[in-house]
Amino acid sequence: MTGSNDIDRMLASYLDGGPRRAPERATDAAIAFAAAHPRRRDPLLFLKPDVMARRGSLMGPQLVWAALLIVLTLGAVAAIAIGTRPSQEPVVTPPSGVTPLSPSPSITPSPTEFAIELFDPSNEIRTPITIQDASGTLVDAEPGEPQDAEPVDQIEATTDPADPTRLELVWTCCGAGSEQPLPIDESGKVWRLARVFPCDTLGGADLRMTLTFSEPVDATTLDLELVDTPAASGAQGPTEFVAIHQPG
Amino acid sequence: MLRELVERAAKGDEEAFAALVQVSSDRLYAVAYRILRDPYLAEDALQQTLITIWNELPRLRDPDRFEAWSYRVIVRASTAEAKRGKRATTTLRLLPDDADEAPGPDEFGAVAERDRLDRGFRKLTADQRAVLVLHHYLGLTPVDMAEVLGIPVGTVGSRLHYATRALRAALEADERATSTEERSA
Repeated sequence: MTGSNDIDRMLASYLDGGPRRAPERATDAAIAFAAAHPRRRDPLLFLKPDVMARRGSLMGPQLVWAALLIVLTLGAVAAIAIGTRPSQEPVVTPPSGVTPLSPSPSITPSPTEFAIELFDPSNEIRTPITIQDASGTLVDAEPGEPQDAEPVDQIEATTDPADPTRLELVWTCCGAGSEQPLPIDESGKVWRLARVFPCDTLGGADLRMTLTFSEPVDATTLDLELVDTPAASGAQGPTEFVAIHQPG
Repeated sequence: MLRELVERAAKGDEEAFAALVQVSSDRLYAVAYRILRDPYLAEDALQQTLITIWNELPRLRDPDRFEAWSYRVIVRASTAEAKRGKRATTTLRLLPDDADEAPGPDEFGAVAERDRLDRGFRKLTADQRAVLVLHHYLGLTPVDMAEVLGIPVGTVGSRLHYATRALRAALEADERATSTEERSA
């Protein structure tokens, strides 16, 4: 018969023998696993129970958190659903000086042609602008607010400091009422804005238009050029072409 | 030191985890081997334990409990390895064959006792072996064992009692079988 003390002594001696050093293969594999599986931040970590928690002891707070999260989520969904209910007509407030051609966004659906209409409130003249983009870099065109400063008899371009892909064009409203085409060539470097000359509304507000491109455009690198050409009717003098050259 | 490593590894610091592995692997492997009595199964259990530690470490709220938690993980991995299909293993003990250096009666007796204990120990379940290793090898108190195993202290005492009784029964059965063989021989 083996006594308790004998068993304890024998066990202690028996268990004391044996390897004490871990094989490197296992440790290396674990370290390689960690390197291959970098840990990502778990946003729901606070919902997970402590690994040293006894069963049931810490599940209470986790369930409370989970219930709270569900309630908040349902509340947010309900608020969104109520907020987007189509009970009110959308209110569209046009810019004070420039009115789009249609109540929808001023850009036509065509991917290569953008049509917008600028409005000079002081003379109540609408000027349609048609942009034909052969380069494929223009992604948006929108009318801007009229300028109260002295009118410029040329075109000016300014890059939006907050978004270098946006370029604002300002020019004098000459040839008001007639359509002004703005073709952009395939290279995307030469743009022409045709307008009737001589202007019958010189001294009026300058018009503005903002173009957005798929890549940044630096206005200071542009080469702006004014070209005078005969009027289309042949009776009112030459037609002026404003060309913008972007050096390559 | 250990706490800092645990905190850094929990945040995803791979170097801290590697240092943690170096610090912890030997003691974890020693526990796994003594539960499983098989170096290959113990190696598998250790690797699984280290991977579990990497994956679950952010969920360890108190870094000071890392050691206890790592023992919990290695015990669970070891019992899982033991319950899984095991490799067929044979432990060979080499005895000196030189007559001049032949062990004396006491030395032979010690080897025989160890072999008998080994046979009896292997007959225990993995859970029984785990409590015996935690208590007799690591020297943990029932309170510490309860924290490691995540069970009440009373259950620890019960498991320890039944494990010791099962081992004693196995040893006595082995002793009876040996006596029978000697008489018939």
